[in-house]
Amino acid sequence: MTNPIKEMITNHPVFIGFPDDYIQTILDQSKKRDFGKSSTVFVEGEEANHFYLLLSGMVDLSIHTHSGPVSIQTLRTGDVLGWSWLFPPYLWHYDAIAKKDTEVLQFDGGYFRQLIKEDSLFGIKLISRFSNILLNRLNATRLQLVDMYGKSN
Amino acid sequence: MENQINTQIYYNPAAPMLPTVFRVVGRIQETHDTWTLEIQNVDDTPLPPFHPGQFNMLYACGVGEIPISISGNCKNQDTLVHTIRDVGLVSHALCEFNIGDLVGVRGPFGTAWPMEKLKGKNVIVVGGGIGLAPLRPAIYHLLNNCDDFERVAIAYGARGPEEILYPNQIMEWRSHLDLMVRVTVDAADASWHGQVGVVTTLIPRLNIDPANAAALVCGPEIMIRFAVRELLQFGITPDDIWISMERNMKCGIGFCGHCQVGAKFICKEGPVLNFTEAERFFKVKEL
Repeated sequence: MTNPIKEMITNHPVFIGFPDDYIQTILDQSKKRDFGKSSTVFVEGEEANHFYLLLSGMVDLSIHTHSGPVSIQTLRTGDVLGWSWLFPPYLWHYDAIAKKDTEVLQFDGGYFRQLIKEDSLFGIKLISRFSNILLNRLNATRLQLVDMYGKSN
Repeated sequence: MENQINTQIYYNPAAPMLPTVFRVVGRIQETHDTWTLEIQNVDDTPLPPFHPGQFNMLYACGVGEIPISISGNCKNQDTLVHTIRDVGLVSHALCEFNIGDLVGVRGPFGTAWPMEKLKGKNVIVVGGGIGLAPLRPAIYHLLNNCDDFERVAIAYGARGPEEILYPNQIMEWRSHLDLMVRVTVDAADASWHGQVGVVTTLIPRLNIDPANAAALVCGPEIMIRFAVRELLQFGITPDDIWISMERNMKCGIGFCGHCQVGAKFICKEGPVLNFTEAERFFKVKEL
């Protein structure tokens, strides 16, 4: 019988093409977690030891302003949440709040950091794929900054 | 081009610069700075037919004239619907109009969305901000003739929840089983339950086969540029992408050159262009 989560990981842009034993190890150390609507996945400034793959639901990334939290991006099923585990000082840059009941696969960032150290080829591939996620988010953020719906545009 | 509509249909062919008088019969506030006016001819002369994507020149007496896209249903040809954002002197005057006020109209002008060409295809409608207004007649057409098209998806982005255009209608469109509607805003507070992010992020998630898909795109030009880039990456071919370009139209009939981009008069050869025709304009900075 096929394992749908294994299939999802195997075909996910972050993990696609990795050898099966790696996929199995990644899967073995992952943990399924549920976050109820409005519950906190992580908080800005706290230690970033994990990243997440959204299996269902929605998570908002938000920042605090003087007038309260402002949501800057919504992540959905299939999205990867969290890259702060990759870069020192390993602290979250934003708050992540489940917008509705959300199921995630949680990965241990420390384990992946170790794996990157031990297998540089795997490390290059993984970091390049996370860079791609970062690039897409950076581009989206730049467009948000332009205020393209403003009157001058 | 197939989307070229015969623009030799003026209200007064002998005097194409002379507006016809219309009366405001309906007025809806859409957002804090955007209003929709419904206008009807003061006499019973039948209106020339308009097509999705075309625009009219609206004249506020003593103030001036501006191009405004037609945003109503082409099935209802006796009333013209225009959604206007209050951004300048004339648009401000038009937004202040009340029921019963008179407005000058010339048109309909310009090319239309290529609805015939879209038959048998999946259709992706990408709109941003007030760019949903010129797309709305195309959406009406897609809904009125749903058997002619495969899957239809609407991806719409706005600056914030309070700036979403036609929110009630979007809710109504969402109730159509054969219509996929995705809305996102650039930023929102905790009271917003929908998606946050730029409109381009919606495109890769559309559950639609790009091999047999075409896209209609309208919004600020920077949004069009990035939306087209995402559509191409999604797998849609350039000749299946249509955009609507906004320019400073003055005469509406290709005489004055105010709206000229390259060799094209956007008022006459646009505003709807195939991306293969428009691509080169996007490569020229500040054009």
